[in-house]
Amino acid sequence: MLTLGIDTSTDNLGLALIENDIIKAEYNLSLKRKHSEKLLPLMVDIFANIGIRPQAIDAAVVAIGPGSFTGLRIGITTAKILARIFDIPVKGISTLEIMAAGVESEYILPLLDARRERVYYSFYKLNYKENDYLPKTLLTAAGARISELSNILRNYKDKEITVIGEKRHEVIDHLKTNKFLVNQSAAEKNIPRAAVLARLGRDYIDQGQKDDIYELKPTYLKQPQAEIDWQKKYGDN
Amino acid sequence: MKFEDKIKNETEDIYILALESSCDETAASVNKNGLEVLSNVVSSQVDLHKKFGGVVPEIASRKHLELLLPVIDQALEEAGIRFEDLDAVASTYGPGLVGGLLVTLTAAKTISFSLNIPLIGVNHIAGHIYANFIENPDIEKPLICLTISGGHTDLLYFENLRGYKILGRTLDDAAGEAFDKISRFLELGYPGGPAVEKAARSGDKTAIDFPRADLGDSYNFSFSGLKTSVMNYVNNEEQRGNEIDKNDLSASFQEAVVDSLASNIIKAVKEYDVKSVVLSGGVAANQRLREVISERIEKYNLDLYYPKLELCTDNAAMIGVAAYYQYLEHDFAPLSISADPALKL
Amino acid sequence: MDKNYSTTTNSPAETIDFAKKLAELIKVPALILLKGDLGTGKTLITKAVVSELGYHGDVTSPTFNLVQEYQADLEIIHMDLYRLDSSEELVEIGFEDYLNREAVVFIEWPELALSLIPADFIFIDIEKISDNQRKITVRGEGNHSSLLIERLNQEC
Ligand SMILES: Nc1ncnc2c1ncn2[C@@H]1O[C@H](COP(=O)(O)OP(=O)(O)OP(=O)(O)O)[C@@H](O)[C@H]1O
Ligand SMILES: [Mg+2]
Repeated sequence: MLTLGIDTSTDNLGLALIENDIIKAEYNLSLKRKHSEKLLPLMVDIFANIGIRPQAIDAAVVAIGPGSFTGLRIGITTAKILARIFDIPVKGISTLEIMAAGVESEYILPLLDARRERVYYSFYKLNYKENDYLPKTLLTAAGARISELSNILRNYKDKEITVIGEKRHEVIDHLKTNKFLVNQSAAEKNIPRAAVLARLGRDYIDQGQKDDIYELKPTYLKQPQAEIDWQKKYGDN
Repeated sequence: MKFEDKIKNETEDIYILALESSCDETAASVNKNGLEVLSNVVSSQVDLHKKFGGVVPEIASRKHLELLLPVIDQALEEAGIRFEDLDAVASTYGPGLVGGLLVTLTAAKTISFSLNIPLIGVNHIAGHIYANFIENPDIEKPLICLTISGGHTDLLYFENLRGYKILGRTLDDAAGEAFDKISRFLELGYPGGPAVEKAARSGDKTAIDFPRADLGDSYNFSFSGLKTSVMNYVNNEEQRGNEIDKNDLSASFQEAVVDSLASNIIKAVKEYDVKSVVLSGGVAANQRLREVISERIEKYNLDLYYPKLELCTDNAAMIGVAAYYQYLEHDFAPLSISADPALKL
Repeated sequence: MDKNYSTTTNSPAETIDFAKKLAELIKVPALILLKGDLGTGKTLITKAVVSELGYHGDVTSPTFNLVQEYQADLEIIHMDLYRLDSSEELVEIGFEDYLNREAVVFIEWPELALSLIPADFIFIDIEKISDNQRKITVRGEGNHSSLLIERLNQEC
């Protein structure tokens, strides 16, 4: 099965083609808001390099955030159209889950920056020791101030937690101060990787879990409240 | 085979799927040879946005993503066309709200990539102008076109339908924006154009002599000075303790806008040897504007055209017509094209 | 006591002179909020600053488009929140995406956004004194803005 993975949810533009367990091609480009300009030219490129035609793909997998809403819609639109034209299954995967599925530890806290001392997080358990590489969700994706995380994770104080992604250093400091057991991972494990996305999607589709192409949409998470509100000072004279 | 090798010429049948999502309508159409509209599907979000008195960008973008496949499916089905039959795919790429534009633009790019057919990027304003040619295919050219709405005020010259020259545009506020702001300021309601026009009908247009922007020889427009003059007038009258007659004020303001618009048209008519004058965009619905322009062009023996529908809603058929003429010119877009929210003509 | 700079201009030309001085002191990234009633000169100031920053295309009112982007040597974003009704809508429009860019960002009618902006911005308040007279006050938060206000006070 030839699976195409597309991720435009963060600054990382991810594109991968996997065939069974072989990575045919994987691009992870760190770009700022150039996804609209780059995605389709990169697709042309990836197919040309591998020497296959677009109609050869058997499934399209796409990251559904959290992330920039506009960025997310670029990848999701592309996946929907491919699925519609080639009549293939499509599967949306949480960006945080892609990150979690890329490390081998039991308790994983992937993070994305929500600016102003806030993050998007989700909390997963991975039973990799039993060769199960599909993360189980313990806490669903949400936004929070970094300072709130120790309270949010209070039931896992006795577990060893691997913290990955953006703002991990700040979050690790915060959790350590609150007496949590925390780990890090190697540098390349801190982004959602396109090949991991494609692999996850393929596994879910294999299990019969595909999405309806008409219903597929981004995770629209609300930004958590910021600490300072300038309304009082600058709002009215 | 590259798509360049299968481009057709004017004598062959050309089918184009066109998509549009620059504002609050998600739309798809299939056109044959430009003016022949095989299907024209528009899914409007107007009700959704009504409570906001304007389009809310993120809400609109979410809706566009949801409606994208259903409108494409319906457009193909009504036209009796399959993806494989298409010769090109087109999408608006500006001006408008980026989040919305990117939905159909990305879709069009993916269709172009998947089917190996050319991609055509269409300017939304050009689409509105070409809409007139669907209704009136026999408009005589060359022509002058004034396109006026909440976001634009542009004066154009068309030698034929394959391209246009921009004569002038607004330097600050669009004509429709001036109407909206004055309406809100005078608490006349939304949308501002019809509200001010209604008040103006019972007012005296000569009551207040608002200044016209002097932009010398150019065909440009400016309405921010007029907007500020209206504010100044109201503030000063209020300070003097005088009652404001909103009808007189509306009529005088409208007359100033109409006069600036009409004067530039006449100037262009004198300089260019044209056969017709075309009005397009939301403000073209203004009766006083139509009346004044008709009167002033009468002696030049020209035909005046304006859109029949009072509400000239966005649609994809007009994008498809513009796209057809771009196709004939081989004006194709690269897959790296991005949305341009403030795209000019 | 907060630092501020304030000046009164007697014509559009004088306001443009002020804008040019301001432009010289702007460093990327910058967030410039312009507050003032209808027709006080928010767009006029933006036009002049943008032109001074090296963008020579048209700069028009963004009220209808909500956001306009100008590409000069640096990236410039020109927003106008006049048509929006609540800060809820701003969160939904992905407004914060724009603020995180390496750009000079202008916001006309910024009142709605005050609960969403970071701790670094320049705040320009324009008040109409008479038909052609404006009182312009510059305040702000963060190092960039205090430095800018200091320099404005030295130079003018
Ligand atoms: N001293 C002054 N400084 C600035 N503008 C002035 C001055 N005196 C008169 N004006 C006029 O005020 C008007 C300002 O219009 P502009 O469109 O820039 O305002 P704005 O604050 O952007 O309005 P809006 O609220 O509609 O966005 C211009 O027509 C300008 O000529
Ligand atoms: Mg303005």
